Amino acid sequence: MTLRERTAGRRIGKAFGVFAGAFAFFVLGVAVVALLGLPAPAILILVVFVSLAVYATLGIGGATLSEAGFFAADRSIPAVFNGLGTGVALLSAGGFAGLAGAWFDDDRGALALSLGWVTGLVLIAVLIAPYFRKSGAVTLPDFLALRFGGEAIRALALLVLILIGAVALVAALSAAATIANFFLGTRASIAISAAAVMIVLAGVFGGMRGLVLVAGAQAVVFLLALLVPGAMVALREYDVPLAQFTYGYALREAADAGGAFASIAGHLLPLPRLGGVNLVALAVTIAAGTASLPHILVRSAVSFGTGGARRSIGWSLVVVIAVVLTAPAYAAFAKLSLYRDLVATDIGSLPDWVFSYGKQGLVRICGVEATNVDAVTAACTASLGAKGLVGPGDIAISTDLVVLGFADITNLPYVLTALIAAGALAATLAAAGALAVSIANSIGHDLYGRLIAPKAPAGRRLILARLVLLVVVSLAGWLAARGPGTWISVALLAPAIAASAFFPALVLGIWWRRANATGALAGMIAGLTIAAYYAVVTTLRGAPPAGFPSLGGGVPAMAAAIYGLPIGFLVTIGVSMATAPPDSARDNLVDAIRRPGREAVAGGDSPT
Amino acid sequence: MADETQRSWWRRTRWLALSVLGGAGFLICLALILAPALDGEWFLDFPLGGLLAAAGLPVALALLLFRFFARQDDIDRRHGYSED
Repeated sequence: MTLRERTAGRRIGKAFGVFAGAFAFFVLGVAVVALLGLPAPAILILVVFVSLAVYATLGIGGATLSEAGFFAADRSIPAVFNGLGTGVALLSAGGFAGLAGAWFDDDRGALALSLGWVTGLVLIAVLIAPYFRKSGAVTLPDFLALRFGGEAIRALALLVLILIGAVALVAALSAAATIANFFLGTRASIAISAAAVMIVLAGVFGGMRGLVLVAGAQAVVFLLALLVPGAMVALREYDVPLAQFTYGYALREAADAGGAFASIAGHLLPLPRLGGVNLVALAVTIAAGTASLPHILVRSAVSFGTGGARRSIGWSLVVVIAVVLTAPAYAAFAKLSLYRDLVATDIGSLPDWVFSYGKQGLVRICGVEATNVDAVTAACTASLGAKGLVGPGDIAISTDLVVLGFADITNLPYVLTALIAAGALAATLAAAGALAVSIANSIGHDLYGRLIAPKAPAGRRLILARLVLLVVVSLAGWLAARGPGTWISVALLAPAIAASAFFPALVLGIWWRRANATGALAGMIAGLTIAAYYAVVTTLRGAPPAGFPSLGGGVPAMAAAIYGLPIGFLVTIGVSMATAPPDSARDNLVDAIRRPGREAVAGGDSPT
Repeated sequence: MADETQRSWWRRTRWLALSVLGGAGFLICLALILAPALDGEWFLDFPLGGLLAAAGLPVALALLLFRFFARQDDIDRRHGYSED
């Protein structure tokens, strides 16, 4: 770690340590005022709006007029700070709320997803991040164009980046609408507009610099929201404030109680039911996809040096591990509370949250939405008889509810519902901001600055990137408002497409100097075509296309990289071997990219 | 072209990367093979197989990664590429 990095790290660490303490103290203060009679909506609005105000302030405060600041945050962001924000952007709301829901449902897809994220971060740290940072590239297409030469690969990479980035951005805005509707009852269009304003504030003034500052604050809120409610339940039940080490007792108690709850598929992480080979296919896809997602990879560019880029991914892994270890605890504690409070309970004595969430379609008892006592009584009397008591199989909750409704389900103070709301929004906004800035920077830098007007002054490129951000976020918001439910399922295909298109070119470009532009371009087209064809046909027809090996009874669309990846690698290697090797200038460039250090190979946008 | 120092650095870096990825692959295979067999056992009230796959494996991979950082920093330092 450099002296400069240590000094900057201490300064930023101190500032964000103060913010974390102040935010925790503020939530505590709200909890105390709540005891004096502050109504629930006021608690929620206070906690959520204060966190949003902090993001807006940091976004505006991160304003910059320099190209190096806008596209690469002056390459001066300490690893801890950058890594935590990147981890939250990777997880998004699906990681925050969806993973625990999948564990609640005993869905093994949760394991594949957890393993995929963790392995993907290992792959980035070892194989890609330090070399991406050293190259001086500010976007993924920029890196591929620098390494292989020629603008065709830049254009193709840009096209894929925009395609998957835009779909994922619309999905993130849809998730924001789902969360806002859940907690505040807000209409989708209003929630999406508010989220769009937050994203624009985070990125339009400072680009990557503003985004990274805001992401740091979002990581603080996210981690507090993730860790505190679980710790409170663990402390209350088992006298140890560590949910990750105590949920085994809840699992045992729930197992002893017997019977499994039904579930309602949630909106935030709609995983298909998987088993056997398909789990491995999904884990491989998520791992390679995580290592190739442009909005995650580009965060390596903002670190001090190659070592910083590596360590930054290490800190992202810390966030992911926190989620991976905590999500099963949420599921176990929620199950235990359902057994205690709902099973074999007189219908008239069911907790209020059952009916408030039942009205939103998130709780079903005896096969009907639990809108009120009469509806549930009528349904249960019909199915169980007059004196029948509700068993676990008669109760179904939405998998989204496991985290979003965790405080209610486990009888925690309402202020923790507000904290969870702030955390879920932080995760969604972190992902959406990263995606929007990644698309805008690529259009501003690659499309305009490199392909259309290479001689355009830096100022014009910056203005264009800012305008593009506004347009991209507005368009994404417009699309999200038209079909909030569907986009999240489509966005689950993004890792498969990113892995198939980018992973072979990225890895071979760094680790195999014989890889050339023709090979990389052919590999990208082949991998992308195979994965996209498989994913689209499987999604539309509900069955895999003919001609693909049938693994485990049919690989789901979101694991399509299991076909695209090997094809991408084989075609890149085959075509590279069949065509002329890279010239000595390209060879020297590969050496320069591999050599550790802070000075970027492409000096154009680098401050060093 | 790379000089002898960089060639030596790259050789060690490449081996380190291979050993880290090989180690990660070994841990993943081990956990996935052992987990189903251990699911009937309980440890500290956790189902042992699930605990191994869902918690033990991610933590082991994280420890492996942080060990990799230290080893790579060491290789960089010994070849005069330290960023300190």
